[in-house]
Amino acid sequence: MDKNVFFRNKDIIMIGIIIMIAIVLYFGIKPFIKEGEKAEILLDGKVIKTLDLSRDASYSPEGMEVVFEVKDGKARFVSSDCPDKICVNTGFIDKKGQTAVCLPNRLVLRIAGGDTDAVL
Amino acid sequence: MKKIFIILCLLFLTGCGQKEYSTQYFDIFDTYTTLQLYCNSQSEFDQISDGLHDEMLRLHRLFDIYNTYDEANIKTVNDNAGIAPVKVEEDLYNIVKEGVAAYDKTDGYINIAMGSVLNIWHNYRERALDDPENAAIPTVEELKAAAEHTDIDNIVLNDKDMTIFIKDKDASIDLGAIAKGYAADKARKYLNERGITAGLLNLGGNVIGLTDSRKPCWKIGVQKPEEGSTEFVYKMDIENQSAVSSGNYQRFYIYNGSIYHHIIDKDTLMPADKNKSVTIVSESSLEGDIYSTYLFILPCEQGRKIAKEKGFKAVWVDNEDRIITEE
Repeated sequence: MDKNVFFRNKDIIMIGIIIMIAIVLYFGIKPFIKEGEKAEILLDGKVIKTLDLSRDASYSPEGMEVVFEVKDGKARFVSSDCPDKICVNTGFIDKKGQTAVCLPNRLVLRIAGGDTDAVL
Repeated sequence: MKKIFIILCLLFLTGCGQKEYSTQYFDIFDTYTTLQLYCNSQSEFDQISDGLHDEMLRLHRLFDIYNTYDEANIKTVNDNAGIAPVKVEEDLYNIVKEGVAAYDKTDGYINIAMGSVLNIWHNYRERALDDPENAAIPTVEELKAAAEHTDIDNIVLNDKDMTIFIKDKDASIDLGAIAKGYAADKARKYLNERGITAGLLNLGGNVIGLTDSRKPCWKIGVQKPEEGSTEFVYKMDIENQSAVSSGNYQRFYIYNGSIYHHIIDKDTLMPADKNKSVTIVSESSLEGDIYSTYLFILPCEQGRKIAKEKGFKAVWVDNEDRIITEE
């Protein structure tokens, strides 16, 4: 065997094994990572609450006159003390990447994940 | 040993290069703005995004029709209608000039001198949202009286002195249909000048996607424009382009079970009722803004011809929820 060959057979086997392990780990763990779809509530860009879309719930951030709800796999602003009510008017959202926003309260309701970068 | 070292290096290679950083703003153009940029470091991102935010705030103040600031803005011009020309900053002068040009391009459907009519709708909308039980719509007489003061020739521009004068004291300028498009184009220029080649700015529905080899495209979903909409009607990629939507779902109130939105048809003085939404993909976001609103008002067939002529990609959701595309 040529001593100058950089990768010897056993190296290639080793690299192959490492890649195999990586692939197995990736696909083996993936199904367990994927949980139910979630709605995130952000205040000033930071997630303050995550709601599972598979469970009906309502939530009101502490000290704020704003109510969120999850119902039948969808999420929405139920009410808000803001003047424009654009957030409430947005209605239910459930598609990944969709948002409903309350500017005066700096709150964003967002469906987590998805493959779109922006929703128009 | 050497080998292991080289393999380790290769493993780490994937983690090198620029990273995507993001932030959001709540205080510009009465809309939710998100920004994602590929930068070398958090500090570089912070510097560029803070600068961009300041620039957007400056434009926001200039184009604000409701509030007065230290510098002369569009409200100053409106307040001086019928009184005196107002000397303004370059960006305000330029956008008003673009607005006047848009009138000719769109057969008068985009009319920045329609402030008197839009203001009436704005007031009814505000009151309805505040007190939905007592929602109302303006009377035809009220609207027609205001429409007497919407002549585009009321706006007098003086290139030499950079002044704007509104001749009719009851007329006013509203930049709502073009402000975000103008600002988004400015933002793109700002980012380009700072060497940013990959990033996404979503200025409340005016999206600019900058793409390079690291980020070859940005994926945009067009949502179904109705309350409780849960589906994307269309997905598309943009590459160094702008995407803008005009829809009946953005700003509206409900009266007698009907939606009264913010895009007013000059022919009827009522909210345009030919489509539910129109999305335009174009180079310039200002053009996208102008034409998405224009084509939203026009019947789809007429709009398709215009989109073809202009070379825009356009997506309609018409009143029967049909999806029509022109590429």
